[in-house]
Amino acid sequence: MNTSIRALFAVAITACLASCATYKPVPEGYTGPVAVISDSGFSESGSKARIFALIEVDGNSIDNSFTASARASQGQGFALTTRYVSRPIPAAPMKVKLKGSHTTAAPIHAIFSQASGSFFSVEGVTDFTPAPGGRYVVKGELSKDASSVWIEDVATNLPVTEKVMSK
Amino acid sequence: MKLSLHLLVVLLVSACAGGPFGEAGTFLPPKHREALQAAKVCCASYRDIQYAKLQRGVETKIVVSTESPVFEFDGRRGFFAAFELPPGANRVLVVTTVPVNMLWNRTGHVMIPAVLFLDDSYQPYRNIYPPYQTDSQPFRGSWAQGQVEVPKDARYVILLEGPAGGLAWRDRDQASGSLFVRGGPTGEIGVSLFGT
Repeated sequence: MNTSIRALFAVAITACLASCATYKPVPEGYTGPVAVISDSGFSESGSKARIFALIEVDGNSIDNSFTASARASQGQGFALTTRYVSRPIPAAPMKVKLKGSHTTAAPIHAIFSQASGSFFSVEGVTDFTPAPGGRYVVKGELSKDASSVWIEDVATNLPVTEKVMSK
Repeated sequence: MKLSLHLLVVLLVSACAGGPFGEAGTFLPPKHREALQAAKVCCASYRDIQYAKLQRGVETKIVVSTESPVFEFDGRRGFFAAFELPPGANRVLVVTTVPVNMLWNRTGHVMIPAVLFLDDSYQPYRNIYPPYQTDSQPFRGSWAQGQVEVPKDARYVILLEGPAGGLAWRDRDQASGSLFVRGGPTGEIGVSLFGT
């Protein structure tokens, strides 16, 4: 095998492995308290939905409803299959990145929606300190004027983080 | 280059073969149900079951096969996996399952576990059928995951075949766009306990 083919293999394998790795918010062996946080959203049609999701914990990308819905919709053309992810997280102070956005199965649909002014998105980082045993949900609003996303306590329906607003 | 190709072929073939579910072309659940009916019940009561200790924060993978113990759960026999839970108040159990014998998709099956909690005195007091969400990724393959809040007084947990008839995974090779994998009494499952 010549050097360039070897290099190509190495790059391909590295890229493949890197794409497989997903940061687990609760690391292996963690024995401390946890809370559970779920993404939310709803379908506007068979091809478009609003999703509000936790996408990063302390700067690390985690599996979320955008990526899960994209995987579930692969090969379906314009038909969108939504998947709402729920996961345990350590009950400790953390920086979280939240995202609220329209999502579509086909990128071309997103482009047309953006062009027609019916595709909104907001994301940003905020502080979050989940309580042990707490149950939380990512909530948000999407509109032309202002979009926002935040985390709400399931028990009280009250926000427990700052609202991340679109600028 | 030749060596690499050979290596690749060997890896691919070995990945497909073997294990208790490596019978390509045979839908195993009927066979496994026969084995289940013929097998001896392991224990007279829940108290007699052997419970493996479940560690917090560590995924335990289990193969539930025709070699697994059999118990009579409320008049219905089942293979199972049983664990002792560390005590705690805010505990979450994550159960995963993967489809097996999938070399020919149509004959694969998946165990869709029900989660039976027992208290300190080995009394069953909650049987939960968690909703399982299916997913798949390149290299990792297909799996389904369910999440259960562990009741406060739960001391033991048993995973056994639930009532669901199967699970559907996205699969662009199928005309419907999804592949329905039928449920069975055996399979490969994983369980993780979080919380204190």
